[in-house]
Amino acid sequence: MQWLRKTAVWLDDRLHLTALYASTAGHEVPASAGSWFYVFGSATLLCFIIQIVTGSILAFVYIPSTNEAYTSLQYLNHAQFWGWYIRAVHNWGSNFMVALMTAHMIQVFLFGAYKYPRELTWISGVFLLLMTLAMAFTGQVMRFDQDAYWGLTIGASITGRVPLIGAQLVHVLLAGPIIAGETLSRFFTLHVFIIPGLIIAIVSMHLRLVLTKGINEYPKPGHPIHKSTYDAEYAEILRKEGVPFVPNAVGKDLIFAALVIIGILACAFFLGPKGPGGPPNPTIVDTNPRPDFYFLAIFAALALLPDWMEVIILFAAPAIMIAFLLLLPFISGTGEKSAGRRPVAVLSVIFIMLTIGVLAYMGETSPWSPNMGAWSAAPVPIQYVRGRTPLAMHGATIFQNKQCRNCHMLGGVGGERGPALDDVATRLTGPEMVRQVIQGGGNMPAYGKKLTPAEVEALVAFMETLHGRATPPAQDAAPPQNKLPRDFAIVMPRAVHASR
Amino acid sequence: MIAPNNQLNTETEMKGNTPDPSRRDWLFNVGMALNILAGLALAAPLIGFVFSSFAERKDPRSWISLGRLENYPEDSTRIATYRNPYTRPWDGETADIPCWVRRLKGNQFQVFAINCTHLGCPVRWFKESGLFLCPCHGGAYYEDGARAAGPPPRGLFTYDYKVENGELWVKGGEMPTLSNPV
Amino acid sequence: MRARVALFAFCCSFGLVIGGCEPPGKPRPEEAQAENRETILDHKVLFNSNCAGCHGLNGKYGPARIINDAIYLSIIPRDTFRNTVANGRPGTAMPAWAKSQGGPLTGRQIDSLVDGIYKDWGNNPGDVPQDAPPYSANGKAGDPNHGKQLFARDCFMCHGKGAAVGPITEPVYLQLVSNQMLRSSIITGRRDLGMPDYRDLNMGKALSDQDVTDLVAYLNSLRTTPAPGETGAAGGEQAGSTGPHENENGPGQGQITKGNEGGNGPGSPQHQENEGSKGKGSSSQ
Repeated sequence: MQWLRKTAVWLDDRLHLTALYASTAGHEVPASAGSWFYVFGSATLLCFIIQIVTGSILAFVYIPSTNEAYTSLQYLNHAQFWGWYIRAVHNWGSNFMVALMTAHMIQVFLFGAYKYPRELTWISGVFLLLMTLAMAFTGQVMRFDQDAYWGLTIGASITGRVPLIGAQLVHVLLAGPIIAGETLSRFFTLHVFIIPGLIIAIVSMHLRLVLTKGINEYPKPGHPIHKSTYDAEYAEILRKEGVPFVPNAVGKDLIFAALVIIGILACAFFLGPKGPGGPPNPTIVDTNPRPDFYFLAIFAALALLPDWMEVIILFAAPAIMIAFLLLLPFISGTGEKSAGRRPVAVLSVIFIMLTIGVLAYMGETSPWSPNMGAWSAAPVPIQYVRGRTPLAMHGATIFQNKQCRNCHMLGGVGGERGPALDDVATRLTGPEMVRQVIQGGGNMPAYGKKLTPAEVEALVAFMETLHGRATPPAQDAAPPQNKLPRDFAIVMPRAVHASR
Repeated sequence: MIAPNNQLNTETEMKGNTPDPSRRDWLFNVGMALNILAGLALAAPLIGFVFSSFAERKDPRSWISLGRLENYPEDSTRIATYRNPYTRPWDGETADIPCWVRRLKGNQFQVFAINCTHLGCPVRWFKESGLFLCPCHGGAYYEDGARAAGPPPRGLFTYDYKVENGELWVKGGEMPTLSNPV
Repeated sequence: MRARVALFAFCCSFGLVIGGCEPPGKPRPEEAQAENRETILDHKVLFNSNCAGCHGLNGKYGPARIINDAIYLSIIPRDTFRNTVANGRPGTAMPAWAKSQGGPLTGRQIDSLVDGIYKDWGNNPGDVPQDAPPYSANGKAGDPNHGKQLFARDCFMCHGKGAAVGPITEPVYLQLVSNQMLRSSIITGRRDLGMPDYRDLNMGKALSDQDVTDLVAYLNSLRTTPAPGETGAAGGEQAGSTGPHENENGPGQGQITKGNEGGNGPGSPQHQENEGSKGKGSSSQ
């Protein structure tokens, strides 16, 4: 054992390990910082490390070429031993990382940790937020499927709206005038080299600032910060109740870290990797592009904004938001730290999270998107067919044929872009329906050129019979109208047939 | 450049060790200048490489055939696919670009880009209602490409086209965006 | 002891994972196949996603023609049926589904769909009378006056003006339906919705081929505009407008045949303008 001890002493003499340990892991923190609220930052870092490890392993197989990427993803999913699992861990690791980073940011904001003297810690954190989102977007492109392809066109279209230099920026983004071979290489470089490198650099700074300026003490209500006195107060706290981070304050971080890893692995094991979806072939027009959930809120906002507002919101809003985040420690760098005394801060967090949540939910359901297949796949509810005149029945055929169903629901099936028409006859008179159909308006196209007068008359005759959603007749009547049965073999009830 | 210089001076003065300050300054300044020159020589091609689109402004588009005119019946709208002329050997299937060809009468055509003018998603043609619908945010266009409803700020992008030797040709090769409508 | 049991259990579960049992998150091999709608050949899936909207789930109870009807499937020639699916019925609400006509389905898919429909719904010989009037009038002229009498006797109860079901004698309705549609409907009825077929329309006595032809001739005489889908005799002025007729292999591979001369008659519904090629050959009247 003597030689082991000697080696250790020699290494310590050359590398100054003890001093390094004492100044990092062993640095003094307020005992109150050993709180369950303080675990999110280290967990985010842990996710990042998992991402680096799994990402490096995936890069053993993944080919960043537009021709091969999709095949290599399929190979990872189906042929490479445990390939699907590593993909799944990488995917869930990114989901966890975004979620934990958000939690960390909210916690830091509510605990006033961005205030004097930790302004730079917050600012570097804002940059880490941006970098993480950039990783999420470029990572979505790495999963080079239909969604990735059209996600790129969305990104390019947004970029193309930049005034003056939009066209050139699109070329920079796509590495050419169009999505082609070099585009994926460019995003691969960003996702694998440049952005992770920047993250490592900024994380180093972030951690260094935690060491130099100390961890924020658990805020007490009624103890506002003053620049002149805070440093002495913090030193006093450390003197009175300072403990070394390792081992005294690290316990909860360790437990949470293990839970995060288990959570990621469990999600990966039980839910699997995401995609890849259909092949990145732009000629497959029958597609329904959706971004990953981090960007669903933005995707939804773009559907809901009036178009005159779009350019403003697209470019001014992010700029203002980032500027606000960067300036926050200088706007309210002192004063009360405790969330209990900062109602505006608490309310704004709730407001922002609710907004993002609602928008993301709407992005997921996309009520503004036409239901492209409804006109030919969603049957007209039987109660709207039975007992109708031949003209009204033909009108129902026109209703389907002219794709009205793609935007208007009947019996709970169809598009949600326009209002459901189950009770349209209670809202509009016949002449009003004629005008609406022919002239459109209120976000509805005009169908005047596409319908003959006889067709309009038939269509309106049908709609005039829609007096509200008929309760489905009791026991023996219709099959469920709300869903499209997958099984074609669902047979119409005999009773109806026999009733003739 | 000035800050480290000053720092260096204070440091040497503190140590009370100033053998030849002017020579030291001269070496430092020349060293810095040389490095700035070398750095610029390195940075210029790097920046040019990545941001070549600002320097090279040649039109990436060229004429591509969409096949015989007979493929496009009059008064109808059909999908057509062409191989992107701006191509790389490793493009794969991403270089197959679709577009909607509307033939009016005779040699009168309208060739629409597949991309919605709102955010570039692929619009789909519904011939019964004569509408193009976008799956992303519900943009709708009439059969002549004019905006009908939804968030698009303008009608569909159209390609330049010509008819030669019984074939339809379009000028393609660039993704249409609002700042560069084909 | 307990530790050994735990170790054994752990080894077993690990072995299961490594060995036989698939982890729930592992992608299934069938997911490797690219989603491509053109490879779908299951006629049920095809019917449900393309036809059910108008013709009803299971081919019944839709606002458009009943398909799940043994009489209909026994009288309509299969190539006429297939042609209708592929090229639509220009002038009516039936669109073309073949790729060559701008529709979504490949030739194989249409074959599979048609075969499946005949297999599932056409194989009910007990339900099909042998003496059913033929699908097509074969150019026979009907007698509108006799048809008028028949209408008063057999149809008026339900389809007269102000009657229970609703009139079919209004010009506005007749503008929308072809003579073939009227003929087929008289023969097959709408058994799903309560309209009897040709056997029961006359109080249990079957209508003859001539009766059906006369009824259609009567209804046709009430038209104020040419019947939809009929190629007008005076179509010369639009003769140049008919596009060439392709087969279903899609643009580029299609064998080009010159479409028949003869456009749609004047006053035909304007919504035809985008139906693709509408040569006489595809209207199959």
